[in-house]
Amino acid sequence: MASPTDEMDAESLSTAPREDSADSTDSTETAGSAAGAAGAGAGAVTLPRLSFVEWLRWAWRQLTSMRVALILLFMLSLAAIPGSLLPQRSANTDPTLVTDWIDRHQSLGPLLEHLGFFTVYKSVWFTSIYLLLFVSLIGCIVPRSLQHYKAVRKPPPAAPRNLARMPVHYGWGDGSGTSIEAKLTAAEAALKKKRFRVVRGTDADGGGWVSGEKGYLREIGNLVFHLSLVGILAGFAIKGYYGYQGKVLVTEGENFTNISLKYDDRDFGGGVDADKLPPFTLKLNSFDARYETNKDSQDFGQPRNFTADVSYSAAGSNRTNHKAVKLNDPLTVNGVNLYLVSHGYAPVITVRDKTGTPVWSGPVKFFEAGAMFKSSGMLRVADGIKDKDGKPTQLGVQGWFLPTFAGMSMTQGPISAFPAPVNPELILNVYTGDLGSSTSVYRFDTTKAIQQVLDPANGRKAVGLDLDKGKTVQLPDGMGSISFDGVKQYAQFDINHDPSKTLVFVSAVGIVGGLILSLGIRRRRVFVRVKPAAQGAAQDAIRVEVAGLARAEDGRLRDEVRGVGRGLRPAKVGAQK
Amino acid sequence: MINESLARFSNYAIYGAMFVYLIAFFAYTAEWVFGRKSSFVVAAAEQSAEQRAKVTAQAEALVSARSAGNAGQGATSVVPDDLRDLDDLGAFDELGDLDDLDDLPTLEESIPAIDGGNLRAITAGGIAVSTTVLAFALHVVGVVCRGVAAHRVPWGNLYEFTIAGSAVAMAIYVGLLFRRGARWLGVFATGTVVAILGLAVEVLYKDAEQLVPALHSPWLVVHVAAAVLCSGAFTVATLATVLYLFKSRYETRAKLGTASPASMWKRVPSAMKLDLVAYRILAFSFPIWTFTVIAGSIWAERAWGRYWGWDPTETWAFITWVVYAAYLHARATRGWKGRNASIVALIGYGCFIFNYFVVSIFVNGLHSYAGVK
Ligand code: HEM
Repeated sequence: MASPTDEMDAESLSTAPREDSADSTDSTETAGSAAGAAGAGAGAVTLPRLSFVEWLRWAWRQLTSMRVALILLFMLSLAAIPGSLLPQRSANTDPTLVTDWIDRHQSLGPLLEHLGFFTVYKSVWFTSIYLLLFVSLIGCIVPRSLQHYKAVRKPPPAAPRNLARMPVHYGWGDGSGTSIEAKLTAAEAALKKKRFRVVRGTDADGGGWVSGEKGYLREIGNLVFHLSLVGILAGFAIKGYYGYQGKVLVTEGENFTNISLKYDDRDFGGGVDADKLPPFTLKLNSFDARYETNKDSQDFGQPRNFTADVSYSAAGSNRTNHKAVKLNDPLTVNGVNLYLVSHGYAPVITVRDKTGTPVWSGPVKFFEAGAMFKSSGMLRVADGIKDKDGKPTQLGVQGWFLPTFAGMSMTQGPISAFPAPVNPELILNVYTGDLGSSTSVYRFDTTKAIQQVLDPANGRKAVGLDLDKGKTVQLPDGMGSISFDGVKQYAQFDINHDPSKTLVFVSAVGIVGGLILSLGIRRRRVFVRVKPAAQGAAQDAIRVEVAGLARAEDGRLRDEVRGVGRGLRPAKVGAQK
Repeated sequence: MINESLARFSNYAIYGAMFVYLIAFFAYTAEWVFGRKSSFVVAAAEQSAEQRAKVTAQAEALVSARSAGNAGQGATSVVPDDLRDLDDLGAFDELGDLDDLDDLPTLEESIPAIDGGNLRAITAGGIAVSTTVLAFALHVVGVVCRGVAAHRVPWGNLYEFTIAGSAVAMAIYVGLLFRRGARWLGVFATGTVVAILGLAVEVLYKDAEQLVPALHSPWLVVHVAAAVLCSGAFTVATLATVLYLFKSRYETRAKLGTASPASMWKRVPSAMKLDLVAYRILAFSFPIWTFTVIAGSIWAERAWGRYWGWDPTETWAFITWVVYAAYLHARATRGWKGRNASIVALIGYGCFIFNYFVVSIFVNGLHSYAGVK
């Protein structure tokens, strides 16, 4: 719809860096020669020899062009995809997901591991794209901001000579006797009233023009938006370097002290001093979980509410505070946030040797592993147990915990009927011998170990312990016994310290605000020209032309021009609608 | 807690809406078909060709008059092939008062009506519009009752999200219908909404229930409400984009003279207009989508302690955002306008749908939102 000249004019309304629009001419020359150098060009292309500085300049111009920024942006989202489809190692997820995946994909797994596909968002390639984008944005936006600053201070440009070239324009002869000056003054007032910034000028032939521009906020909004993007990226960098996160599992009655050794899982940025975490202690007094109890409901057994009742004190202070921590309601101590994210059962287990002396006793954390909080867990006792020959042996206990035991299923093994501990049952398998060297709390190696028969009467290896009765099982060969003494719950807290939050929040506000201005406001120019009437039109004293030009799509430009024109035009006979 | 009978009533309303939308869909189809059979369309096509020839001649006369009048000054060789272009050219008469933008026919008036003046088509069109409105009312009742029954906002799981989002899409359509006379969109809008609601009741359905604890947050209201708005808006924009791609192919053919004069695309607005409809909706919803992502990260910060954790749902929301941002850039970049930009917009919608229907159901993340097992 626009002729080439119009487009040039529309372009001049933008503060976009020139090279964006000139890309095709400017960079094909250099990029083309670079490509030519790589190709087998049979001497057809004579290369201008680029000095190192010129190369740098060329590379910089490329990097800071909108096109490359877009490509980088696309690459960033492409690079993010594998992370959303493959399990990732992070402080908040179960690390066995990754190891399981690698186990299941023997050939692909190690390769992907090597390439960083299980830590995508920390991988070299992801970080490089991200940093390049960061540089590109800065390189693009700083010059644009300067350019825009100048543009805003300059008055609007003069009206073009030939308004017929503008995308919207019309004109009429005016025989009402108004002078050119008066018409221009009226036009100026009309534009000012519509909040245009206006300049006025005269032509040699006695005519004159008024040129108005408005919508400067659009560009400002656009800059705020892009600068805020830089803010977000910077925030991510700060978070990555100075932030830390981790997870702790605290059982009812236990304490947690904020030192890095106590974390069950952690992810510290490079700038964090792990020995100087903000000190505080915390104790989980009790944990309460509520579930849907209506048997007819589709959501029977679904969690309804969790509350962790904690007391805590900042180190050095002997004041103890209490708080009921809930989902969506974290605890903040010394600038560190603790979020309740998950929970589980910790059956209290005691292992005794043959003399009846306890060699291990305490709650063992089990992890949710099936419907209705069926949980699995393990305990490894390294010392204190002797096998039938009297030699020390490791003892591994592996089992299921069913909060409400409802029998065995052929397909799923033991099943639980409700997530709350109504009829708690512990089902145990016991291994002795070599349990491997891993110290994982999730599993031990059973390949070299011997599984003991716990129920010789029925020839069964596993045995179930009910909390109400039969709470103890004797190990074969008089090795000792295992008893199930009670059930505690534990709460999982995600710990988070993130110094970037304020910056990121402010940038987020800038992003939304900037976008609304940038997409909602139209930058447009309206021109009015008044000339002495052409020779043939004797009855007209003057000729008035109104035209408009807009940057980008502007459905209202026509209305705007029409509105200005209507105000300047004497009522048209017979055309009042 | 849950008002079971009201929840059941909501389900009936949704089924009812589906049924009535289906009737509307058939009525819109009938309108197209009868309208096509009408000789009027052919006549209109001929007439518009004639008119166009006349206008072209007029414009040429103007142009040559002007270039004769001030020789050497901007004798554009652009010949308008549509009434619209006459307007763009300015219909500028050096001599007097012949032209007035107010008097030029508007874009809508220059497309032949879908019903083509055929009586049966007009009846079908009337039925189509009234059933659309009825179905939309039922649809809204269904969504509202669902919320009232569960004493919360009606977007607590994927089923509710889907019925609410499709209600937004239909609200946009009904708005376009009454404010812009967008009849041409009817058959596509109702067809799509029937398919979406079918998917909702067949695959995603979940009884009205209380929310899981992770969803107890005011940010749920804000974040998901914004996402619901966007889902509707993106859907309508996507329909317009698809129509745009077809129409621009038709227009290319029409220029080459290989298009059938009675083609259905004749009765759809110009490609430029369709593109503009899609752009307007997307330019309006992009800030809302940005806000959705931000509100989501504020909620994540409250709930999980980090505003961004590359959870699969977050990742795909980001990807969707990037692709739509690229669409906006593409439209501002020469050589990317039009077809290429539209394809980017379609990819954006693909990412959005992938997030809601694939990631939230099949990929394990923290967003235990779907409630579909
Ligand atoms: C994270 C990356 C980016 C996003 C999400 C983004 C988003 C946007 C949006 C939404 C617009 C408004 C488009 C419109 O006016 O219709 C815009 C305009 C613009 N962006 Fe970006 N942008 C990004 C990066 C960049 C970069 C790195 C550059 C510079 C090299 C850039 C240059 C521009 C320019 C020049 C405009 C003005 C276009 C116009 O006025 O129509 N953008 N950007």
